[in-house]
Amino acid sequence: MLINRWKIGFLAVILAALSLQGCQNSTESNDPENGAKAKTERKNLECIAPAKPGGGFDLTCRLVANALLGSKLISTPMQVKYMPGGIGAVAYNHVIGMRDRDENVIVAASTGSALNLAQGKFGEYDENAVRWLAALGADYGIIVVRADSPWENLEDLMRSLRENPNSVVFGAAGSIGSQDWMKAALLAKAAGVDSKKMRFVSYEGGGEALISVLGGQTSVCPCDLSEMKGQLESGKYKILAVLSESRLSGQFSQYPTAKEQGYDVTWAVWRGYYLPPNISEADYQWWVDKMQELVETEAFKKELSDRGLFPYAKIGSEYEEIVKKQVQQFRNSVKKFGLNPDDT
Amino acid sequence: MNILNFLIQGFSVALQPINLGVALIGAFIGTLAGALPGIGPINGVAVLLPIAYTLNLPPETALIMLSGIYYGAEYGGRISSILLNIPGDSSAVMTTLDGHPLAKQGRASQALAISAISSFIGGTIAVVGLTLFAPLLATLAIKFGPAEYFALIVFSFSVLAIIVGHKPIKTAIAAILGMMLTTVGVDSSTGILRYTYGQPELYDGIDFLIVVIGLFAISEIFILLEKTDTSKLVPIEIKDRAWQWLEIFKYKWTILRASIIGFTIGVLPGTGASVASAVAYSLEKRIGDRDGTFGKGDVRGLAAPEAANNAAAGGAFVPMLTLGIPGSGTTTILLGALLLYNIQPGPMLFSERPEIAGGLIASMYVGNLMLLVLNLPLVKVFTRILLIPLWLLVPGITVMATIGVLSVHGSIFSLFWMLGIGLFGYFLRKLDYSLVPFILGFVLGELLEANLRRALAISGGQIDILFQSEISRVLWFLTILTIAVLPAFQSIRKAILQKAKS
Amino acid sequence: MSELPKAKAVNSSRIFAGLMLAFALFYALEVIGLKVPFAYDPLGPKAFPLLLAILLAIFSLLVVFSPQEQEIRWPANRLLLKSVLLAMTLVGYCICLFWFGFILATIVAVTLLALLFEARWVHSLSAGILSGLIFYGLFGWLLQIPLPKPLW
Repeated sequence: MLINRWKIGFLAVILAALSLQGCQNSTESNDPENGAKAKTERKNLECIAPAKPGGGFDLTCRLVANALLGSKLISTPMQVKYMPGGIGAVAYNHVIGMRDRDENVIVAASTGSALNLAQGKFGEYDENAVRWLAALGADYGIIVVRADSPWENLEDLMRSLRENPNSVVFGAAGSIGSQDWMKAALLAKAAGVDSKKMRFVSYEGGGEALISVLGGQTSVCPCDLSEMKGQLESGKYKILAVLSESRLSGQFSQYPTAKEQGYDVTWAVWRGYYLPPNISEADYQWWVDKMQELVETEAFKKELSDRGLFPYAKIGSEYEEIVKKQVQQFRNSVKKFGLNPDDT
Repeated sequence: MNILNFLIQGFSVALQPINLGVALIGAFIGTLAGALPGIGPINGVAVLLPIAYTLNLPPETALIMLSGIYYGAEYGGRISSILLNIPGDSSAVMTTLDGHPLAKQGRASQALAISAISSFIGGTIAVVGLTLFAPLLATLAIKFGPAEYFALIVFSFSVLAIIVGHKPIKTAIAAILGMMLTTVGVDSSTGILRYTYGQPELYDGIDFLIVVIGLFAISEIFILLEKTDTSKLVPIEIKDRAWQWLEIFKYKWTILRASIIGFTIGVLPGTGASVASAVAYSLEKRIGDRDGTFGKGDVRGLAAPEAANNAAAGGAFVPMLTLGIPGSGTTTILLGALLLYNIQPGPMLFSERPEIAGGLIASMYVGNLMLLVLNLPLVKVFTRILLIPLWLLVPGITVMATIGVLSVHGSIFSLFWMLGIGLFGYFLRKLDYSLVPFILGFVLGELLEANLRRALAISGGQIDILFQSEISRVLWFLTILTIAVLPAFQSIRKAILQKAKS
Repeated sequence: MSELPKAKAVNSSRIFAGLMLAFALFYALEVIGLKVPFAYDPLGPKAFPLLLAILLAIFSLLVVFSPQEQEIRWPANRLLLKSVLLAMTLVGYCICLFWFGFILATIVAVTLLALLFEARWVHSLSAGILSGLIFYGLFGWLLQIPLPKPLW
């Protein structure tokens, strides 16, 4: 029953040897083969959703994976992998640090990623650390209240906000500095109210925030249109304003924008992808070409509308510019709203 | 549409051969996923969701399979809790308290059978509740604002005191440590980073799965190692062969109470099965523990949490189907599944897509029955796990635990967290601290802080919001009842009984 | 076989409580230094951790000054060595997973663990090889859980 002495000794030796071996291995770098595979058919394509399954990033990855396969632009399915952590920061750092030359991987991103970059929440890296590939669709912010609320339009709400900021309780998904908070803060700013003086309650997700409006604990939800999709016909909510540049198409055309009601508040949530930083120019171009082909296909258009997204195709250098400009804009507003802890 | 028509339509969907088939497959995979330490319902559902989608299964079929996995896992979770003292998932934590002692006494078959039947009853009561009261319960869930949640969680903590009653200080320390672990990560209200030390891996906090696996599975390995040093290497015997099925009737009230509690708590989004089983267990202990048998292998202490967590699993479907809000981690993924199929759950689901809502509910009746039929004959097979020698069992547990963590976080960082928490858990166990309050503290801590701060943000800092609604007043009343009145009442009764004796 | 040192003036329960006391202090200091631009609730992100730290400190002190408990049997001698080896094996396994990939690391780790739990060489090695392959087949291949691949 007793373990004998030399067996323990042997175990110790093996362990030591293994860890030594491991150390040597880790110092060897793996040389990349650049550019060679750019034009040929690729297998093992992968989309990283930087979150747990089921969320917006998952949808973003499935959009491109299904559309690429459905339109026969690729022959083997693109895998969707999950890398939750730090609202996308883990994936961002992973791709830059570990897979900087992997030309087969794309990562889902959104306006929220740009907002986090602007607040320095992705660690040491900024928006120039990856190659921005394309945005394929967009969702829009909306201002939602309960159906029996006294506010009939945005002006009513803004008047209440101006007269007594305490009378309006925003219930939203996300903390101070999140997308939903930005929408509320921009609205407050448009009403001439200090964003620190408004009432704002953070919930775990858009669903919880909508319920709190229904339950009367909060009065306004600065939500996204896709979150409301199943509730539109229920008659339990009123949409006071859509935060798009102009009226949306189809069944959504009945909802007025904030702009046409006299308040220049817009919030588009683009859904896009980025590539690792050190891939070759040819590889980057391969992806850009694929995306350009993709957005023209019927399969893609169907996938897009099935997921409750609106057309918003910005590809390649145009998209890179948009992202970088947006991050810069966010940096300014973040500073203006007094969000950066180092400023105080 | 009235309920009967709705159900008939539902059963016509659920009883189609393909849907019966996938329900069985789902139930089976779910049982396995739940039974394997580290692999829980979330993994099962998350892994099979893309497969179901690629196979082009129609939405109702995919949903039936996925929810089969979901409640199958609630069945399976008890198996490793009872046999190995390692909960297969969070809701099976309470099952270890009396389940494992039963197995140690050689009553493993009885424990497995009783818990399977309790699970079945709990699950069935939940489905009946779902059918009859879904719309009504949806309004209850809406009324539950942050203030009410806060009161509910305080109440849950008050029942926690009952679970490990004789070591109040150590229980408190364990619960506090569990709560401290929840403060790691982005503060959900201000977005400030707490205790993250610049590690993006820590921004989202520490994953629940990592904590459960580390705390129970890894620490168990070290405890098992000690057994190799003493002469007691004899595997646990299985003494009970013939078990009287009718015995379950002795526990009918226990199971009924636990099911109702479980279902009600399961309906509330965000609390889920682990709270439900804790509350049900404590209530049973409060009512029935006259001779101090709870925690040492009392069948009621096993039946109650099992009935409750299965009932809660059913209850969690109420907010998901009627409001479009997930009530638990797994229903979040099921919700994602619906969205993938472009079905938006919500108030309109029952009228617009009755084949999905009805088919799902009907399949839960069928699935529950299947699970019972599947699980009772398997009792004998599962008890064989006890006969596996340690040198085979321990590596198995280790690899399963590792795969479990890798399936949610594919990083070495999270594996080290698992080991660190495991080692800490080992020290806690050696020092006679219970792990259950630690886990409950971890589950409830975040909800406690978030809801208190939400309530105060709504009221603008006024405390009285916490006591304004009737629901919260009832909960505060129950809390006071649990902490103060019941113990006093019981000691008076004890005194009277003793007087009567002498 | 494990001979245990007789109960000393300070027992391990108290040492642990002392450590928890120190941890409570550290935990509180960490959160006090946080810079919070603004919060919409009166409590903010600091109140809850501070409350926890205070409670932990109080309860730890109660343990430190409570009557001595039974001395806990800690692993000693051979068992201590084996516990350390077990911990090292587990840590090594986690590291090796990412260097040698799942299959190889699992084969080695399972073999070592089986040996630690007093299996015979043949049994250990065959258990190692079999579980490496079976677990990979079941979870990596069949269920598509992303298990680490070898670095090379």
